[in-house]
Order: sequence, then C-alpha cells, then structure tokens
Amino acid sequence: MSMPPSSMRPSRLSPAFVSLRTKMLVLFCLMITVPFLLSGAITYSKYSSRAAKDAQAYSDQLAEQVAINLERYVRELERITLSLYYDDNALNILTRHSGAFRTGNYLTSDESSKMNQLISSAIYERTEVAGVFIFALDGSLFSNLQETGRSNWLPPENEWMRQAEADDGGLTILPPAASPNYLTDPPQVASIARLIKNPYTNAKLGFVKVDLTSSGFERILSSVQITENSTLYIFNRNGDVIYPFESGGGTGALPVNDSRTLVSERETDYGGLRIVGIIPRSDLQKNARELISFILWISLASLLAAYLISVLASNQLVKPIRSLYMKMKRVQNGELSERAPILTNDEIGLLTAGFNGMVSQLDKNIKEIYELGIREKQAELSALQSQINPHFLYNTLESISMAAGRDRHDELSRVISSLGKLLRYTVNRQESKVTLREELDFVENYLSIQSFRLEDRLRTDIRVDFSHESVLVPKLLLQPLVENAIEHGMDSRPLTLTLTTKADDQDLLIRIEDDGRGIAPERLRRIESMLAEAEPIRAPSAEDAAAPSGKKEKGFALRNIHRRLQILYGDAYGLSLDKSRTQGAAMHVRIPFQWEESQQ
Amino acid sequence: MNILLVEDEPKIRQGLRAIIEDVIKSELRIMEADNGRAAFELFRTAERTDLVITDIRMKEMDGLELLRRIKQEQKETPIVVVSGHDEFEYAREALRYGVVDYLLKPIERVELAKVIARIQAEGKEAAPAGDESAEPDKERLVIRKVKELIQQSLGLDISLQFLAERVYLHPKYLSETFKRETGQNLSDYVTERRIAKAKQLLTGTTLKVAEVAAMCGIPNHKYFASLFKQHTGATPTEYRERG
Repeated sequence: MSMPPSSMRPSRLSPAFVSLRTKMLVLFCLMITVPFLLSGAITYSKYSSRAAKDAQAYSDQLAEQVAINLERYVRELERITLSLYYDDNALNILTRHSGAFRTGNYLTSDESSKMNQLISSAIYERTEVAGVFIFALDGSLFSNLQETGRSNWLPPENEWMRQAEADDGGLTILPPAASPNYLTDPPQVASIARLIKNPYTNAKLGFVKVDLTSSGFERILSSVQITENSTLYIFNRNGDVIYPFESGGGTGALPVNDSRTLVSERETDYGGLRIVGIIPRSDLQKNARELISFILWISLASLLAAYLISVLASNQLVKPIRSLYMKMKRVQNGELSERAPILTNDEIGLLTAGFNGMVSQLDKNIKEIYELGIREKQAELSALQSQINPHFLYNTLESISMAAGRDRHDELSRVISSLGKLLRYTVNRQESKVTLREELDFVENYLSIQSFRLEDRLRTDIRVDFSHESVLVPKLLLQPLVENAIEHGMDSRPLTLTLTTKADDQDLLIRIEDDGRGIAPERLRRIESMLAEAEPIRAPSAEDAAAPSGKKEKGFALRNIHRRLQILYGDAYGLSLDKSRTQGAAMHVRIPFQWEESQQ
Repeated sequence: MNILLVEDEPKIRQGLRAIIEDVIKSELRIMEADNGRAAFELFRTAERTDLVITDIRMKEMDGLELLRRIKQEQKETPIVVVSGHDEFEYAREALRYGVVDYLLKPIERVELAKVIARIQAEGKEAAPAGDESAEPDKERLVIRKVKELIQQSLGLDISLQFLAERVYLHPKYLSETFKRETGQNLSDYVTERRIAKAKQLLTGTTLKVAEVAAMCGIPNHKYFASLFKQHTGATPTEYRERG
C-alpha cells in the first residue's frame, strides 16, 4: 500500500518540482506578453517607416511649395533692382558718376532725391526691405535712407561686388550679414544684388543692393512646419545659409539623409536658392513611441489580469487535484474508507472516479482478507467453546474444589479457585483496558498457582502505590511478563520476583525484576533486536505453531506486548530491558498515566 | 439456623454443605434441593428459612425464577447466589431481587464462610462464639499503627506490601482487617489522607500544584488534579483560590 520512498520525492536527475499553478502562470504570461510584444514591435517598425515615408512626402511637398513661394518672392524683389533699368534719370545719374573711384564724392540733392524717389516708389509697401543701395562706380552711394544711409562706399566693405560682377547682371543673393552702409547700427540683413549695366552700351554703371530683414522670409516660411522640431534652411547658389539669419551666414555642411534626420531638398528654378527641410527622425518616432508605450501599458494591464485569471483558473484546476492528493495520502495512511468527491466533469473527474474505484476495490480486498481471518478465528473460538462450555468448566472446578475441601485439602481448594478466576479473567474479553488493580489481582492469582507448583522456590513482592492502582493498563499486560521472568529466571535456587511501579512525569513505569540466573548474552541480543524491530504484530503462523518448544512463542509474547503498547500509546512506549543488571533480570513497561475519570 | 441449599451437582452441594458446617457449628439444619421447583416446595413447607444458597442454572426451575418466587412469598429471606455465570444480565436480575451476595464458581471457601457468618450475625441477636472477643483491641492497635505509618509516609509510595511488612501481617489479611475495622478500603483511606494533606499544603503554602502533588505521593499532577477534583469538587487551583 505504501509507495517506495523514491517515487515520492523527485530523484536527483529529474527536474525540480514545479507546481502546476506556476506552470500555468508562466504559460498565461507568455501567452499574453509574446503576442503583445511581437505586435508592438511590428506596429512600431511599420508605423515608423510609414511615418518617415509620409513625412518625406509631406516635406518634399512643402519644400516644393516653399520653393514656388520663394521664387515668386525673389522675382518680386528682383523687380526692385530692375526698376533702375527703366528709369532714365537713374541711368543718367549713374552714368554721370561712372568716373574713376574716389572717396568723398558729393551728391547733389537733386541726384539723391531723384534716386530716393525712384527707390521709394519701387519698394512701396515692402516693409521687409531695410534699405536699397545703389552703388555708383566713383564711390557715390545712393539710397532710400536719407538720414541713416551713407553716401560713400568703400570696396573692402563690399566684397560681394565681385560676385555680382561675376554674375554679370544676373541676380546675386547674399547671405545675412551686417551691412556697413548704414550710419546707425548696421542691421542683420540678407541682400539681393545686381550689377547695373548700360542697357545700350552694356557698360558697367554700378551695383544695386536690396537689404532684406528676415520678415519677408519668415512670412513665407512661418506657416511651414512639418514636425515639431523640423527646421527649414535656405541656401544660395554658393551654399551660404540665407535663412534662418541666426545661423550666422556660415556655409554649414548640408545635412544628408541619415539615421537621425530626414532631409528633403528643392532648388528654385530661378535665383538658385536651395530649400532644405530637416526633420529629426526622433520627431517621427515620437508618435510611434507613444503608440508603443500605449501598447506596453495595455500589455502590463493584461499581464496583471492574466495573473489574476491564471491564479483563479489554476485554483479551479489545482484544487481538485490537491484534494485528490490529500485523499491519496489518507488512503496511504490506511484510511481506506476515504472517497474523493467528484467535483468536475473532466479528466480530473475521471481521475477521481478511477481513484475511488481503485480504493473501493482495495478496501474490499483488504476487508475480505481481514474478515476471512476474523471468521476463521471465530470459527476456532466457537469450536473451542462448544467443546468446553465455560459453565461446565467452572462447575467441574467447583466439584474438584469441593472434593478437596471435603478432604481438608484447603490449599488445593484455593488453587482451584485461583485457577477459576484466572480462566474467567482470560476468557472475559469484554474490555481491553483494566485498572492496574484488576491486572494485579490476576497476576496474584497466577502467582498463587505458581507458588503452589513451585512451593518455597518462588517468593513474590508486589509494591504498588495505592494511587497507581487505578491507572488503566492494557488487559493481560503483566502476566506474560511475570511468566517470562519465572520461566527464564528460575533455577535450582529460590526466585524472588519483585513488581514495582513508579510515576515518571506523565508516564507510569512498571518494573518486573527477579534475582534469578539472568539473561544469557545471546538471548539478551535476541530480545533487544526483537524489541527494536518495528515489525507489525504477526499472528503466530503455522510454522510458529509447529515449533512446540514454546521458546519461540515466548519471544512472540514479549514482542507482541511491546508492539501492542506501541500501537496503543505511540513509539515512545513499550517494553525495555534494564541492561545495568548484573544479576537477575529486570523488564520495564512504560505506559502513559491514564485513569478512568468517572471513577468514584 | 435453617439453610436451604439449592445446587444440581451433588459434589458441589456436598462441598457447600461442608463449608456451611464448618462455619456454623450448632443449631444447624440444612435442606438440600437439586432444582428450583423442589427447593421452592421445601421453602414453602419449611416452618422457617434463615438463608437460601442457590445456583442459577438448573433443570425444572432455574435460580432466578426461584428467587422471584421466594421474594414474592417472603421478602426478608436472605439469599446468596453461587453461580458459574458472570453474565451481567444474571447478576443484574439477581441483584434486583435483593440477593445478599453473588459468588462466582469456583468459590473461595473463605468468601462463602464470611458471607454466612455475616448473615448469621445479622439474623441472630446473640453474640457469636467467644473466641473472637479477645482480638479487637490488638487489631485496633494495628489499625492505629497503619494509620500512623500512612500519615508519615504520604510523600512516598505506599503499597499494601509496604504497610504489611511494617506491622508484620500478611498483606491480604491487613487489607481485610482494615476494611472490617474501619469500613473503608485501605486504598481509599490512603487517597483520602493524601487529599487532606494536599488541601493543607494548598492553603498553607505557596508551593506549586505539581510540587504539592509530588509531596502527597501522587507525582503525576494531572492525575492528582483529577483525584483532587473527585474528592473535593474543585481543582487544586480553584481550591487554593477559594482559600
């Protein structure tokens, strides 16, 4: 019935015990997290590549739009520079001033006012124009600014002229710089410049330069914002930054499409301006990140939910298994009447039903075996009883006793009376526990018969405190021990048998001692090993019965008493030998101090 | 003294008769019957019956039926049952009819002798034979000695053997004498003295209950508490608190 211990514990090779609940928990968590993470990753990559593509298209479109607007703007501004060509006064003035370069030219008020008028009409309502300068070849400088504009220019301050000359009447767009041609604080302006030539002779007449504040560009670009951190740059033909002004006019390296930025470029058809939109990829990924974090939160929440559900579900699943396991343990401990309730209609239900069937079968088999044994015993007993009717036996003894009495055999009469009591006590099996007093009476009866047999060779001394007399002891506990002591202790010398009791904490110790020949070492070993053996009581089998010597039976008597005590009271109780004795033998019985509460 | 002896086995009947004759030496008339019916006839025709000694299981009419009839006829007649049966049913029925004693076969001679002597003493106003008159004083002395011994040894193990050795008597004889003289079992007396000492220690000292138990010769203090409660109706602690 009991399993070998190795199958109870996981062996060294097999993996450690992992409960079903843990397994389910892991499974559930995996089932939740893996798809979520996978779909999250895919969504993320798809979404961000899609977003990049969209942003690219959008920024290309914007750049296109910006380019168109810018081109139109540039054309409008160009018209300011071109207006000179259609003004004879201006051309005359410039022609007049086309002498060799010198400093300290004087501008007549007529000239300057004429120029002023011309310019002012050209730039009418263009607030972003900081100033328009017309440079004559002799060093004279005309402008629309009468108070703040200078009237002379110096070549070193106007390096741009070389480029304008190179452009040969084409439009030159200059990056933002502090213009030196102002009397007041020079403003930061981008400019468009042009070489002025005589329309008829094509001779060089001077330069015109329109200074622009950033507001014009801003008007065009302000509405253009692709993403939060995107920036738009405008470069001229030389790669100088025209816009934004804050970049200091440096010729920054053009950014290219790389892992961190998305770049879209567009060149204007006219003016050679390049519009570069730079979008940090992080901007594009921002939305994707938001999405991902959203997904992560959802999966976290799902994980929590999954945990709870799996705990509940595993409880549902594991509970019947656990209860089945508990029942199995109980069956293992011999409670064969245990049945497990079938709670679920599934595999576990089938398992439970199978278990129940198995246990009932086991129970039935064991009962059959037991019952068979009991019936055999009963049959034997009733056979014995039918052969010797107790009434007949007692009457016979009485007759003998009376006969003895008549012949004045008082001792014989007493022995027969004792024998009758002995028989009565033995046969009367109604109670399994009796008081020590009753047990002692029985022993005294037995001793009185033994004394009759052994005459002077047996002396007995029973010292039991009155308070111990009401202690409950198993019936027929002492007589076999006394018999054992007499049998093994008796030799030719008289034997003194002492029976004493002693309270030891919550136990009662009964000591049966003799001063006989003692126990031979070999027998001592046998008794000890027998007492140490925790074998269950074995009914004397055929082979024991076949051994008529009685020695074996006596051995069984000791062991049976020992086992009986252990079964009744636990392993701490039972028989033991007093090994300190050098003469005679002493046997200890340890039983718990129990008494009948309802006495008196 | 008229005694009706009912027993179906002649040998036992003879034996019983011998014992009765040993106990009662004069004015004895024994009527014998081997079944209940014959016995009842004898009982009805006899002018006086002082004691009926009967077996239970007999032919014709069993002992219990005989008891019932005799009790119907004459309630006061003392009856002693001598039976091989110790079945509870028999004993209970017999006791319901008010038998004086129920002795089990094979009986001890002394047992029966004692019962007969007691009934004889109860029935007769006259004092029994004079050979016992000298003893009481001596016996009372023994009892006093025993009581003293017990009082001195309350903390020790007190066994019958222990007491018997010190008064130079056979244990069985001492036990019987004590019971006869004091009307109390020796073991009950010892317990009573121990409880009395415990009471005194509980109220007079602040010793722990377990220590008191040990000092009164009952070292198992749970058992002590149980005994104490049986005798006083209170646990040792309750008793002490009550003062």
